[in-house]
Amino acid sequence: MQFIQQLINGLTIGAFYSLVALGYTMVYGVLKLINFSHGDLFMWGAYLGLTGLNVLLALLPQAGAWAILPVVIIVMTTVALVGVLVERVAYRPLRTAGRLAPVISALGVAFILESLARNIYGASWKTYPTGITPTGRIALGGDARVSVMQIVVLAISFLIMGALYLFVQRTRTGTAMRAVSLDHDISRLMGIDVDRIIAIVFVIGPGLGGVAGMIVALYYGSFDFTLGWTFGLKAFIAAIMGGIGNIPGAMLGGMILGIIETLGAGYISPQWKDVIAYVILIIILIFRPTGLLGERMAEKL
Amino acid sequence: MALLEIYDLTKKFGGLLAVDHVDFAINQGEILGLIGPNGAGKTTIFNMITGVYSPTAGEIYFQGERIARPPLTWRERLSTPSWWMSWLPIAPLQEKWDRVRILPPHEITERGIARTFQTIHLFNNLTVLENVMAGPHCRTQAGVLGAIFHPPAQQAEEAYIVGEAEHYLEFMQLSAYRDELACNLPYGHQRRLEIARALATRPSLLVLDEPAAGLNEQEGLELVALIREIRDSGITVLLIEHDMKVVMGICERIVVLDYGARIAVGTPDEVQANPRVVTAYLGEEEEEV
Amino acid sequence: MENLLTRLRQVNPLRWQLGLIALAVLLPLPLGNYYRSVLWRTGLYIMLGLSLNIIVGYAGLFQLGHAAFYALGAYTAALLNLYLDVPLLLTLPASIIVAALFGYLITRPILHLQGDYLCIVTIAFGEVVRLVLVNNLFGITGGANGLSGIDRPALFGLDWRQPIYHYYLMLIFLVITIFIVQRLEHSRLGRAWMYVREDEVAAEAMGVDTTRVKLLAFVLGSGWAGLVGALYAGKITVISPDMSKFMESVIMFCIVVLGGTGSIPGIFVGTLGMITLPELFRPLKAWRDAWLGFAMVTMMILRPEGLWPSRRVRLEMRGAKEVSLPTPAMDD
Repeated sequence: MQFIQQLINGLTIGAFYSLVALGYTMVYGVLKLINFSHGDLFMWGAYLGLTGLNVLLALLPQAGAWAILPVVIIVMTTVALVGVLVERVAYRPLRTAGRLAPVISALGVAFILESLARNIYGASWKTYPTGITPTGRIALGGDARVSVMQIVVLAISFLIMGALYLFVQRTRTGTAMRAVSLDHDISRLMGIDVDRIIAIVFVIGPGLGGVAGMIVALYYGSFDFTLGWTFGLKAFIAAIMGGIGNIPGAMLGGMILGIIETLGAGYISPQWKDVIAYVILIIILIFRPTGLLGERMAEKL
Repeated sequence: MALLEIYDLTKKFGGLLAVDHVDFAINQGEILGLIGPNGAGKTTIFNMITGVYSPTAGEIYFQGERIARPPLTWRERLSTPSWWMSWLPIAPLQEKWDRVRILPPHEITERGIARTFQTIHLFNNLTVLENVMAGPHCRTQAGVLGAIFHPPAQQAEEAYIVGEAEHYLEFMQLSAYRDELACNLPYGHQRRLEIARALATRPSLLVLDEPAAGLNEQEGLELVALIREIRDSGITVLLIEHDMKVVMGICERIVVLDYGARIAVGTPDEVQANPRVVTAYLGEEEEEV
Repeated sequence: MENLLTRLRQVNPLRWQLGLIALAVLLPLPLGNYYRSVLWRTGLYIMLGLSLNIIVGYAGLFQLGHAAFYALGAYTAALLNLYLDVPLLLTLPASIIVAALFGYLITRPILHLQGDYLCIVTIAFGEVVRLVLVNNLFGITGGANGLSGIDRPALFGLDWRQPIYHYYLMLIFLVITIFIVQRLEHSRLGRAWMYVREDEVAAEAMGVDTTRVKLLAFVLGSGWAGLVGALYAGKITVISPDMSKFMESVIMFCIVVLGGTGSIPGIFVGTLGMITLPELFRPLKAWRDAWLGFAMVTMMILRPEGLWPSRRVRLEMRGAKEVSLPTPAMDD
């Protein structure tokens, strides 16, 4: 039953990718910008979570797993604030500057965030405090096991994604968001405050990214400053696979990428799993540049 | 034999039938007008002639050679031996493949069809001269080595390109603006520059997409004279136009489209007298009011 | 400043070009070996910038995986040298060909992609190359440690452990590169790149084979990066998959974009900022990435066309309507 085991592991990793991919895809939706800094915001979620947990557990050693909850909220708020700040300082002045300038600016922000993390926390691997996450495992049929942690991670991820989907589809703000992603000027004419909507996107995206960073770090137990780049690029690939700008697409893309990667690592070789992910990305872009759920763009002169 | 023959041309965009089984032909040396209400499919036909779109069905022949056909499906490709071997540098195989494949726009330009655009597509940040120098590009061939070593052939070519470009600037009365940036020209001049650039490719068929759009009365008249002059120099002209005065004034024959289908063809007088044409246009006007 | 430049332009270009070359020849003489090596490194990155400039500056295509070709060139040279004992200078053509070939193979299927997508694919390709080298494909690439013990060039019986000879070798290639790049820019091909960059639809309608022209940009740029990789291997004698790191590609990209897209002096300025200054202020190296990022953000906001841009790119980036310059006889 190795296959089922791999599937479960893949789904868990896929859920992480999906959470991060949502940030990429939402920003791409409203700004048509590859937000390279998103991966590093996600990484900052992991670092801030570490500091928060350490501080809280030092103050209240008996808090145990309950320490996670307030820390998650603090991390989410802080990363969201940083996200809004980044948008305000580095992206908004470039709204009318064509496609190249914002991408470079985003790369620049990514470098600043990564360099800060490395200089503040050091380049070594960081370990999360142990004993605060659930450790049990539930046996499925055969040898396959699912850990309680995996169930929690999957449940939280699906909850967040479901809520986000409903928010975008059902609420006024969500509708405004979809309108902005189609056309800024027309949305403005329709009375939508475009700047506000973009700011909201930069609250939600990095906020989710920050939470994801902390969950990932809790799940794996340790990480270093390259997390932002490696994980971020994968999540971005997931967003493209699903069709960038498309929220359900990002979720689907993340899951598929997670599963393919784990199966690839299990049946081919763990060394080649990243290569497999990149090659799949290249193949998708060659044959279906708009992704799995993306609409074919009408060619028009 | 007609210069350009269009048979049963059809284009669907998803569920929308943009061009519906249209046939017509352009004779050597004439000015043919293609008119019809907005959304009748004129520009779509243009784009199929110039290779930007491939037709859903139907074919286009230019000087007896097929230049447009529906794209091969994967099944057709797999069952076409010349597709399998098209990458081999063997002349007979290549020729065979040439007869099956779809021509990209630049090859159609090379075969002698030049176009202008409905919304102006100039190289905005290049000078007027550099814009027109794009025309002779497809008539010359210097490559990397030519660029690096400047052999006599390459130097002659450069001189030829500049000469051609200057010639057509002169012809379109734009010589005075030779070194201006294209985006700084007044609108009417930009339209003329586009025509000059198209002429510099040395076409046998010039396809103009609403050349009079946005021009004032005076400029429109000048344009009519210019188009006549172009035709008199031996170039056949296909014209899409909204301005009826322009169309009726210079076209020898007119093809009328409505909802993608050809509803009339004939001389300006015949077309104007055709009841279907009148309904098509009046019907449209009612909707617009 | 502008006045000075126009006056400089009126001076016989051959004269000041020769002057610059003489300066470049004399420059390392009073310096110690460390600074000679820094100069050598600067020169290499200028060449890399010039090769990337063909792709990014002239043809207007995104390429964020340029370091992959640099690494491919270095590995080609190293493998030929280590396994077949080919002298390093004779491996240079092979490095060019291999890098150019990969440039062709990888970009041929993705040329139809637009800006952002192209940029992602090139990043992915760079990472694939790095990972393949790390994973030790066919067991010959030495894995994460790379290859070592590569021969230095052997020529005229000189002591090639001295950086100065590498500097002069680099200088010869740099002069050739600048000559070629300049010739390319002002040629039929260079104009075709310009047309594609400005308006692809119109270029195609004018009979420019856009696919071919873009491919040529990639092939030439990649091939030249391969050559630089081989020169690097010849001095350092140790190479590792880190040559294809994303960071390397970004540095090359920034050299072009921050220096001044499409402009040769811009590449010099960009390399000074990206390579030479961080090298000279070693203690600050930990903060180099942050400084780089800061420079990228502020430049994009304040001066998106780069420090020393070509006239045209400045127009493109600024939106041309407000400036109307009569064309100077000699273009940037």
